[in-house]
Amino acid sequence: MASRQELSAFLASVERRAFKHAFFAVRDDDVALDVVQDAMIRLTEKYADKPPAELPLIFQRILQNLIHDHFRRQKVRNVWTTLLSALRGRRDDEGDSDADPLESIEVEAADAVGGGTESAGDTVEREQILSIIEGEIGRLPRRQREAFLMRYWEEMDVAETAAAMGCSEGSVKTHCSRATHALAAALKARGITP
Amino acid sequence: MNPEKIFAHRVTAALDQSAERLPWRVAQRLERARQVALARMPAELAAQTAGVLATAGGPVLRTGPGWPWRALAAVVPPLAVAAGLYGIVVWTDTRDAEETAEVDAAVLTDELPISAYADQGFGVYLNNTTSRP
Repeated sequence: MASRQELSAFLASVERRAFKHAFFAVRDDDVALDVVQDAMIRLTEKYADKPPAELPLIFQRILQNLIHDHFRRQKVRNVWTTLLSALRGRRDDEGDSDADPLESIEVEAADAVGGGTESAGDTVEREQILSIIEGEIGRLPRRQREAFLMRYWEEMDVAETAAAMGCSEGSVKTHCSRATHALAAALKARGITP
Repeated sequence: MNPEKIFAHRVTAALDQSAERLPWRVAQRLERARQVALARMPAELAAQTAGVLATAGGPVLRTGPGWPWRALAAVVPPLAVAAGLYGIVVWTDTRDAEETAEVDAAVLTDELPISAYADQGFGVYLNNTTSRP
């Protein structure tokens, strides 16, 4: 059983990556933070009695489920919005899904510029590269992105990733391979070789 | 390591950098979210794990059956030691002060003037007189 301290340390160690996971999926800071908080609460409320070694996999499962729940709710909300808009005789835009990704990259780059010993030019350049990489990861198909992040960023093995994604190990390998090649091609096209 | 993994590790290294440089507002909200989540940990589990830690760590305070007595048992011995040390210090100071006062009183009430004790010749005279049989 994980102690409160172990649980706290675990959450502290994963919270930033979890936020990024959620942000890549939902593309909104506040929604991503809500998803991460819900995931943390669900972990502590329902799975605090599990051994510390099992927490990473459980947390990833919870996080992915909550992200999917968010999209399910958004889908339902969009259906009602479309219906109501049709009744009012006008159509609204689709919303965030059509937002210009370059715009978010620019905002992120501007937001993330920080201090340090390197020159301002280097900092901006590095931040822009990070933003472009993140932008390209965000543009990957959902399943590919999930597999890539869990497998390589969370360092979960194929079986764990498959368990968290609810698919076969073969699918995980395929998703990972496709994600890597798509990402490499996209970054190369933008002149970046990480 | 195959090229695919090398590429993936470079990308995730970039992601690590990015995750470490989250805006302050986001970092603060994540910390608050963690505190909220920990506060929602079931009370019985929190108490159990606190008990386990207290046992593993030695005689520290914890809640549970009979905890006031355990708390007293943990607090009283150090307090007694501290009180004892303080008593010893006070007693030593008082004794020193009394001894000094006795010497001062003897010097002041002596027929010999105090300036005589500072005189080197008087010291030699005393040595000579006390060394004679």
